Amino acid sequence: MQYSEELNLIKCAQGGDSHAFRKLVEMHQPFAYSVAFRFTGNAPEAEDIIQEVFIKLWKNLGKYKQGIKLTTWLYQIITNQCLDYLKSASRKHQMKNVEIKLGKQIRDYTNHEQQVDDQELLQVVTGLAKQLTPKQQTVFVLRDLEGLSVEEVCEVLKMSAGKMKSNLYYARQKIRQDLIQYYKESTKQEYNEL
Amino acid sequence: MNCKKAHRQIHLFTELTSEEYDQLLNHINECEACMELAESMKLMTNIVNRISQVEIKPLNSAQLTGDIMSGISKSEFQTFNVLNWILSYLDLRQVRFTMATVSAMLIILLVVEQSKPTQFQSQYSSQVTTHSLKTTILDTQNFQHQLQNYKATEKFKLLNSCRNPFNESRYTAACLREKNERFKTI
Repeated sequence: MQYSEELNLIKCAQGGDSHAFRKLVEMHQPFAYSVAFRFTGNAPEAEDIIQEVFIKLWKNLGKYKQGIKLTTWLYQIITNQCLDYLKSASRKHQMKNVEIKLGKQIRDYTNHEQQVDDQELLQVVTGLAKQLTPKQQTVFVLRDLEGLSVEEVCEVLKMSAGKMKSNLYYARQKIRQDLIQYYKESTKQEYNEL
Repeated sequence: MNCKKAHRQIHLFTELTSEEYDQLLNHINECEACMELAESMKLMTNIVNRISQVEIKPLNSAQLTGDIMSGISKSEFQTFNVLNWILSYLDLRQVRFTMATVSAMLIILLVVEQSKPTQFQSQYSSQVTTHSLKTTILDTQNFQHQLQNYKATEKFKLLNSCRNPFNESRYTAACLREKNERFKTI
């Protein structure tokens, strides 16, 4: 869809046209869901976040200024919503469950390494990313998984390039170390089974 | 380049300039530990690149869209329109300046009106101070009230003395007439 067409939809939605807003939701929902899922690793929670995100977008659509990409603005809303989710006390409570699930996935992975598909690998890395601080996880998701440029990540997070790189460094270091540990454990288990 | 700097740059290899990248490569070729680190980073990058290509979709996209739209109620649509109009109107700098000026003028007018004396006060302001005037008014009101009370009590006492000694619900007519005449002189 062209920028002018999207702009027309935004203008109509600003005027209260729910059909135009529905089209915007349909357009951006897949990418928004993808980002939320990369944060949560959990479909129902990602759906909840997405609902909140689009309701916020609707309420604040009047503040939209021409020249800014709606995608960039959406990234900001999604990231803030996900950061709230990551910082919430309930999330700390859920962390234990996530770790248990992750442990099971790792064991499954080692048993059937050849059969592990990308979806499962995604779950493993998402689970490892959850061990990072919220800021490190956000930078990792946006830069490495979503493939945003340094400038885009800085714009979305309103963060200096230096801070962004520092967070990215710690995030990659932790993920790398955890992945090495994960492979070591899986290899060890395979060896023991043989 | 030392290993500490190389360690950081290996993790941030995607953010390096071409010059920094070349320097890092030179160091990696000479340092076995850094080479090993670069290899493990390569493995991690491959995995991350692989999973970044994974398509993530909601289980039921249409259902999710429906849920989102139902979350936005009609009332919110209407409220939003009115609020949006007001906010967009208030956003104009000229409107904000005008409203601030009008507010300031209203405050000044209120202060001036409050400081002006009332018509009654201005009538007597040349003779008495506001404080003594208020005291006089209060005393007069108090006096009127006391006078009415006194009159009522006295009248009751006078009329009470005219009661028939054998039937207290009856009064002596001649006595009432006489007492009434006396009361009028009070």
